[in-house]
Amino acid sequence: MAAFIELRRDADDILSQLEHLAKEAERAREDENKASLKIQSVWRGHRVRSYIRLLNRYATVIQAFWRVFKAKRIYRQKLKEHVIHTRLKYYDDNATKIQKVWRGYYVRKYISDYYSRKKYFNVLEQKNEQVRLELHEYREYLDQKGLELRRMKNIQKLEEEAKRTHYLMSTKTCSGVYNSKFLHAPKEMEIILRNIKYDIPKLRQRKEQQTDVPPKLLPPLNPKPQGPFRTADEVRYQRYRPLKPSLRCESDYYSVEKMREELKLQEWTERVHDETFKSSINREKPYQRLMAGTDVFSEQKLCFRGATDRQRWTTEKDFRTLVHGIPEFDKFQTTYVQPHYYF
Amino acid sequence: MSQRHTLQVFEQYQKSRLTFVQAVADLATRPQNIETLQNAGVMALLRPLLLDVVPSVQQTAALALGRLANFSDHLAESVVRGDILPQLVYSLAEQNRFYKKAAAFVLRAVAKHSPQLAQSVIDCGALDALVVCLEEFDPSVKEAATWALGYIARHNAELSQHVVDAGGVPLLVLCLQEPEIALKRVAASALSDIAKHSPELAQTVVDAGAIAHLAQMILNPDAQLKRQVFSALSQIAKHSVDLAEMVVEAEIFPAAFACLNDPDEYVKKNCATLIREIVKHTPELAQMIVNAGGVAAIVDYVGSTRGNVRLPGIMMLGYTAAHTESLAMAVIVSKGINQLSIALNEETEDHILAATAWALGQIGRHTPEHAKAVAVANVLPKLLQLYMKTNMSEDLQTKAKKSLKNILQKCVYLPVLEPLLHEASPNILKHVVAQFSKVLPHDPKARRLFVTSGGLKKIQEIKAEEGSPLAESINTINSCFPEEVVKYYSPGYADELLDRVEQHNYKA
Repeated sequence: MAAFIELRRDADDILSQLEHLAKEAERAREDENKASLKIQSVWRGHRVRSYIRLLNRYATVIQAFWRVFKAKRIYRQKLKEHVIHTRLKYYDDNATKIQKVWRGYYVRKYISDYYSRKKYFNVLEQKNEQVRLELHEYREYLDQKGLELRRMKNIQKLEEEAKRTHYLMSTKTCSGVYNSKFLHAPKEMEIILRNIKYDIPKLRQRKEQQTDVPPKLLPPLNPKPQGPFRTADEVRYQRYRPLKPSLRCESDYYSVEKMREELKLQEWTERVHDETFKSSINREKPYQRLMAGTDVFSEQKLCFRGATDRQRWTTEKDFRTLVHGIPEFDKFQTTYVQPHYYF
Repeated sequence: MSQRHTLQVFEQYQKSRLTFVQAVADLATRPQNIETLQNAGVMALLRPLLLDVVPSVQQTAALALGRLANFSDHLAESVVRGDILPQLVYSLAEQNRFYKKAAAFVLRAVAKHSPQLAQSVIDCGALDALVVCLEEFDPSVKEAATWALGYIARHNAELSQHVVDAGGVPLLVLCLQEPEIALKRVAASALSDIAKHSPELAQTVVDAGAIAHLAQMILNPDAQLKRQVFSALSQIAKHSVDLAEMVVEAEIFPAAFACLNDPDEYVKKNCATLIREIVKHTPELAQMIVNAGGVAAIVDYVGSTRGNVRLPGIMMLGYTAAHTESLAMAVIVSKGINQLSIALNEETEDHILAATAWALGQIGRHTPEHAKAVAVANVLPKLLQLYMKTNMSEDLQTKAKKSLKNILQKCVYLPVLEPLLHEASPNILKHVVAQFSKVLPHDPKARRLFVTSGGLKKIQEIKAEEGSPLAESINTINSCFPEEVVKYYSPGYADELLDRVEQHNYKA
């Protein structure tokens, strides 16, 4: 209890002390509060800042990664595009090369080829020159021939003239009209007159005296028929000239039959073996040989037998076709020309 | 004695008959006697003499009759009306060759005049008799019969068909192979007459193997034979491509060009006609002729001939050029344009000028190169002149216009177009101006020349309707030049300048 009383006695003191202490404490607490506040704030600030810094660093890392990732994506995209582009360009270039070659080929082959066209026209020009030259030569040849012909005709005419005017030739004593003494040389006609070979004049043949014997037909009128007909000797030639028929007429009327016969004989001689042909269809029925046919050597006889048989029943003559021949050939040298035109 | 007397009477009668007939035949050769003979009743007198016992009287009577019938169709009709033909046809099969010849002559003389007369000859059954005559040995009979057949076939397709049906063609081809030139000549002419009507008839002639024999004769020295041969070949070739190819396959070609130089005009003409007929069908055939040097030959031919003979050559060049541009170029390369322009200046007849204008148009219508080649030969002014002349035929004018148009639409060679600007009529002018409007926007040098040569001034003077192609071309040309240049060359510009001088205010 003492303690208590002691305490009670000192209560005021204590109280003042307490109050003082409280005040002290209060003061100290305020200071401490302020100090701790400061410490806290500094700490918290530090912590938050370092956290933020940490976060920032993280963010930077993330951003860096993200950016790298994004950049890589874009890069890839770009690369891809570039590759596609370069490939496309490469293919296009090559396609152009192919197209170029093909188009060149196609156009030159099917549409128009400038150089071959040029070459063609050059060749054509040469050909034209050649043709022109040839034609020119031909024309000159023709001209020359015509000239020659005219010259010959002229000479012939002059010669005819000279033959008719032989009396104009000059003699030793008397000079002719073409050899005038006033000329220093005789004219061309004079030379022709001198050089020409004169025909011997034909003696006119006397007509044969008509006999009193009357002819069978009416008397002939005139050996030369009036009108634009050929001369007697031409006609005579025509009459006796060798027969020159065309191929159609030249061949024998029976040539086909003859040939057939010949072929048959030839076939018979040239046959390789004599075994008969056995048909596969009628195998059961073997070919029945005739008695005569079984002997190898009498085969020929068999042929003749058929022939004699035929002779017995038919005529010698062959059948003729209904197409008639050319009647003029039958008349040749018999009724072709009436004989009283010629003698 | 008495026998002789009796015979003498007969002889005298025979002699006088003969002298009468011969006299009539002689008189019938002169045209002035014909009417008198007719009035004297010569027909009635000759008819019984055709049945005379003496062959020479018969022949001469037939000859006289033939000459009379040959003279006019009126007389030929009277021969038909006098029922003389059946008698002749009957004796054609019976009598000797001299008579046959004379009878064939009468038939020919009758058939020559008109299709009706030829038909009446056929109605008498003359064709079969004539065809039988073709199998005769004597060449002169064959000749006469061939001639008659040719004259019958000449008129129209129907009559030719009759000749073909009578089996005449193979025998005519046989006649071609005979050695006589005259017979060959007539046979070729008859084949030509048959082939000319229709492709079918030409085909029958070809089927008979005529081409090979005709082709052999193209270098024969006889001019008249060559004429007929070329005419026959061209008549065959003209119908279709197939027939033309058959003719070409006979390998006549480099050889036939020689005949373009023949002294005979008709040989030349027929040869050129043949080439023309072949060329006109297809580009291939034309190419073949060109490659063989035919164009050069034809160009020389066009240069060496005048008038109607020239015409087939000109047409051949036109046909060749019409096919393709390379063929047209071949004509240019062969110097065809020079000859054509010479022909255009030399010739006076309308149809030849028309053909020449057409040919030039065909050459120039392909590319600018062709058009330039044509234009440089100075043919455009001449064509224009032909088109503008009023006394020319309509055909010539249309041809000239068409050619001008074709050439102008391709021509980009301005120096030749300049003169046309001053001379051409409006419907040609529009093409000329259109060509300028195509070239000037792309060619500065040409623009300069265009101004200095006065072309621009002329353009400004043209009055064109708004919206017409001509006005559009003029606008295109004007837009190629600076505005003041255009204004300077406009017609009213001097007055406008003077007005401006008046209105100008002096400013001190």
